[in-house]
Amino acid sequence: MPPARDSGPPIGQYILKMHGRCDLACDHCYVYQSVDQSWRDKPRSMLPHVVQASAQRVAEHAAARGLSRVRVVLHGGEPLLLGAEPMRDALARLRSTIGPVARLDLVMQTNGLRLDTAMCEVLKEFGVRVGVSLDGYREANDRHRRYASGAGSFHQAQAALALLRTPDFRELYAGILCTIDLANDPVRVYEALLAEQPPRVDFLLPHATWEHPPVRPGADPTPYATWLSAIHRRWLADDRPIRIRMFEALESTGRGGPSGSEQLGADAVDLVVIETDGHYEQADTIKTAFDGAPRTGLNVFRHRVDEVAALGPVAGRQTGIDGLSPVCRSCPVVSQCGGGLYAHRYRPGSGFDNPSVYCADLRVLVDRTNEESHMHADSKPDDSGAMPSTLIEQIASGFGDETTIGWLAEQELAITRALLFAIVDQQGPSDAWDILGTVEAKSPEAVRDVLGHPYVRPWAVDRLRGGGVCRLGALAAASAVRAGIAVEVGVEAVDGVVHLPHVGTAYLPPGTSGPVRVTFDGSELVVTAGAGEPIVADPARPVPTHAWQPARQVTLPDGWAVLIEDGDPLRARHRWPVADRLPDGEEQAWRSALTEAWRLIRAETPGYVPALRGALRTVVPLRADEDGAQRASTARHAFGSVAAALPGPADLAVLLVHEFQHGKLGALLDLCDLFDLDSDASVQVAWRPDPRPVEGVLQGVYAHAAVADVYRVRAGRDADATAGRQYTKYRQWTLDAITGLRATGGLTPLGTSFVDQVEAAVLSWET
Amino acid sequence: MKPVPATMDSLVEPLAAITTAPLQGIRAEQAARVVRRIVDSETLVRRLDVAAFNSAP
Repeated sequence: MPPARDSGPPIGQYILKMHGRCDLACDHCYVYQSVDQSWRDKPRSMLPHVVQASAQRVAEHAAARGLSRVRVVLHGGEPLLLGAEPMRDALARLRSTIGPVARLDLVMQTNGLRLDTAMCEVLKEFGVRVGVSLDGYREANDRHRRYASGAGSFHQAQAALALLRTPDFRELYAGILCTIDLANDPVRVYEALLAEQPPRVDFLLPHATWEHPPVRPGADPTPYATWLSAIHRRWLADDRPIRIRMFEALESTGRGGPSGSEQLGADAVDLVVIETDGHYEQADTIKTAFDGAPRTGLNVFRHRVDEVAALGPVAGRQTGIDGLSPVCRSCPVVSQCGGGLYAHRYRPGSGFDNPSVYCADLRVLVDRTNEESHMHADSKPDDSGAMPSTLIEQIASGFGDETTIGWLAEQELAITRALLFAIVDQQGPSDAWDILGTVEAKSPEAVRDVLGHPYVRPWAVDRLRGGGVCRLGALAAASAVRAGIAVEVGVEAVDGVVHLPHVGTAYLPPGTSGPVRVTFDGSELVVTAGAGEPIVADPARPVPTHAWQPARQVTLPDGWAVLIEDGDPLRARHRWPVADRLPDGEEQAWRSALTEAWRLIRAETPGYVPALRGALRTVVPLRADEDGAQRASTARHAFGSVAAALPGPADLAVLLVHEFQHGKLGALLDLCDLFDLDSDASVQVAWRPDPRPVEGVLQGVYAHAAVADVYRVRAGRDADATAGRQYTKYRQWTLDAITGLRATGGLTPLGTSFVDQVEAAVLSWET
Repeated sequence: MKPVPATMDSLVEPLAAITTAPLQGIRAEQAARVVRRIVDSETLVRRLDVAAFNSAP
């Protein structure tokens, strides 16, 4: 194999053949059914010393080329044949050797048949994401994906996918890979894949070359385009409910972006295969071309990755459109098709310097998906929930008008509803779920109010991560009470408390936990725990007793209504301990302070009013600091809530503005990536002794800019020297942190734009 | 791997559908997409990861 130059392009992806055999005998597999039969001469599995040598070569290359990130794909054969303990050993070697040099993404592609809890625990320990191969519904899958006995594998693969959907292992689920067969109904295949709720799906065209062209039954000259188009149309009609890489690649390349796929587009392919015996090979799909096609003759014991990268065919995969055949380069859709999969271009005599054997299908597919995507976009009504065009500008300004904040709050409510549905989908329906549905049908506003309580979402997140007690009963009861609908439902008491959001809190004997009955006959609410004395309340007459505290709503001028939340056990998720149930005097102190703070905000900094009025729903009292230091906090998933130890009104005004900035930015971060979630960068900031991660700095920048703004106004209005010093301090903190953020390289383009706008606002203020 | 930020995925379409659906009419796949983003902190920025589904055992 000829070298291209002394050191080729950097290689960032490695496919490790962990096991060279498979427990299936699929008749469409390129490893065992292709002309290349080299698997017969290789070791069955990758031994520890081969894994170690491979890891060292990868780390050496990453260090030499300054790669910050490397992906290793655990592959086969069938990688799970390695077994749990050898897999643990291999993963430990990879992590400990490559991890100190570059961020290591570990991915496995498997048929899933041997995926069990023990193996999942190992994969989870080392952060391995798992892709499973499934060709659709049972008959479709079992057409090819069969054991040597002829028995199908559908049910076993389905069991693996079910395991990957459980709360314990959902983080491992990467997606489904589906190989196309024209004999399968495309829409049924799509529906079967959708039912498995994969994060991603990709479709593979069957392996073929000009020497062994694909099956084309019937008169349709482009049947593969026809098959995929049927799915594309349905996918669009369903509003893209799952990510399908082939279609997303076509959309991306249609806008001039990269494809992210080896099948389409002209992205550089920077991958190398390492076989069970340590030999480097090219992408093993080219096994379909000729015997020995992927061979390089180099191995991890004697050769560096640089030497593989320098080989002509490997380096040639990174030249994009320039490396394609003349026919491809003159094609109008070359930027989207990219010549198709490299292996599909092979023809004896001219090698890979040809269009794909699927050229006609790809041309039709590109044209058709482009047209269908445009038609779908044109047919969408303007009010389909699209992101407001000025969302980033509005939030980056520090404020956010009523429309923008209202839209963000709607997204947050939709997120909570989706999480609730996911809990039920995962854990099964219940009476409480049925009640919620019934109440919603009669009084959607009542359910909306209850689900909009800020601490519903943090509970749902906990629940989906496998923790927390069931709270659906409390949500159903609260909704029914607010709707005035009679109900009887079981709820869970937590440490002597039953909290019904927006209704009130029942205080049972201390320590009472577990099932409790809540009944409401349209006027009287009764909470009964076992044989204990029932707690009776009248929600229409909010009178507190020792055992019942009605929700403490504060209604303020200009339409702001906020709860002083001292009952919900789920509020205890802040940096400091929350205050217990407030005595009457303290409630009154909070009411007075909120009233005066709100007056100050409206007078001093009215730009922050629409956001607070539109979305700040609860204030959680914290225990006061013994030394009198201010305490305030925002919880990431509790949009619409601020926690604080009660300060004076002027400080409370600053604190409400400050903390709710975190809420607004958190809501934006739910919808947009402003920074690289994988960034390890940290920044030393002035407001904390320890270096902070990118997200923390971004949050600090946004909140401190608002604090500076408040003190700027106070300093200008009253010539207040203390306010002036505070303004100078917070302004400088903000600007310094922005400089630090930019230096991390961890911001996305959108994040950079956001930070630029925050900075422009701050710089516009006088020093 | 080329960790090149490409296009931004969006939760907006599924959230719009979830907003208009009754609770019990939410589609499982759309809820699952929200779970991946919110609970599992899945990135929305797509990356080039040509090996992720490169071939099928």
